[in-house]
Amino acid sequence: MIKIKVNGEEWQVEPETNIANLLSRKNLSPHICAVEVNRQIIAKEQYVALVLQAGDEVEIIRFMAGG
Amino acid sequence: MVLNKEQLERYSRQIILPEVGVAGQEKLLAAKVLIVGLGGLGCPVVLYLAGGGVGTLGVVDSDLVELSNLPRQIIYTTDDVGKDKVAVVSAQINKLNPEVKVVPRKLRLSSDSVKEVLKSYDLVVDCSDNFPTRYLLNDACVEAKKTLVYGALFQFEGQVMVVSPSKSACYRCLFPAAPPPGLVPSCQEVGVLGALAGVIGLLQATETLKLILGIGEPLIGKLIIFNALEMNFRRVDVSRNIKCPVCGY
Ligand SMILES: [Zn+2]
Repeated sequence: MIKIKVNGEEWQVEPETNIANLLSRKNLSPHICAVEVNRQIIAKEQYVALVLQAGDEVEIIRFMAGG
Repeated sequence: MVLNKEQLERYSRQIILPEVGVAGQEKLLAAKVLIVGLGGLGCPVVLYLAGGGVGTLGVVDSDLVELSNLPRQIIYTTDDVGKDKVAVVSAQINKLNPEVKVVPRKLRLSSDSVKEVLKSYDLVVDCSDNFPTRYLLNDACVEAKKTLVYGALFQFEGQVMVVSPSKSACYRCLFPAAPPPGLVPSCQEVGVLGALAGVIGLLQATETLKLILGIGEPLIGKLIIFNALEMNFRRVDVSRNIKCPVCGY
């Protein structure tokens, strides 16, 4: 297992976990959020290719339109 | 501009702050701010900007007041149901602070109108309630290089960010395109806690006042995420996206 941070909380994940895996673990569709890894916004096309490394800081930001 | 006796009294609690002073109050009175959307966010934003003496407030909304608006859209009273939001807001602001000039625009922003509506304002506050308006505003503000104060709500959560065009991330840097229709439900569909709108709207109002005054550290390139159930704020750095369709470089 490796340690990463998701929305400020420490998470343990399997090595080779990608962003798509992480979102499905959170039960979130990739269409309803933006994802940053180490302060860089990640394009949706990279959600499978980008494998998380120990120490990565992930932010999952929900889409919302209410006002 | 020289402040008269009544103004010195009215704004005394602000003027006494060393960061504001008479010079800061004069900046506020000279400022022109556009508020798009007069719902849960727009109501507190307009009230506090008018109270604080922001001289010109453009207010945009095409809706009529509905009974279901009242728990969070705090300018309106039960008697106002059925009236134009822009008309009620103008009348209320006039009572609160007659020296504020309110410019009511009863319309829904469109790609045809947005440029003209934005033109005479220094700063724009996004208090809208739908994705098309948010993208329209962001893109027009980036193009016209106008600072945008974004705020949004979802059930018990809210977000605030300041966009300083070509200097910090814009809304599209973070969310390049709107989600497919139907995937992100609206407040009408899934609800929102009324008081949450006040929290987020007042963060927007505070940022707007700071930007006009040029004080402190506005949320430029930083997104605040407030969760009312956990009662915490998370601050996320949002960097510019090279591939952003409107401000990419
Ligand atoms: Zn951008």
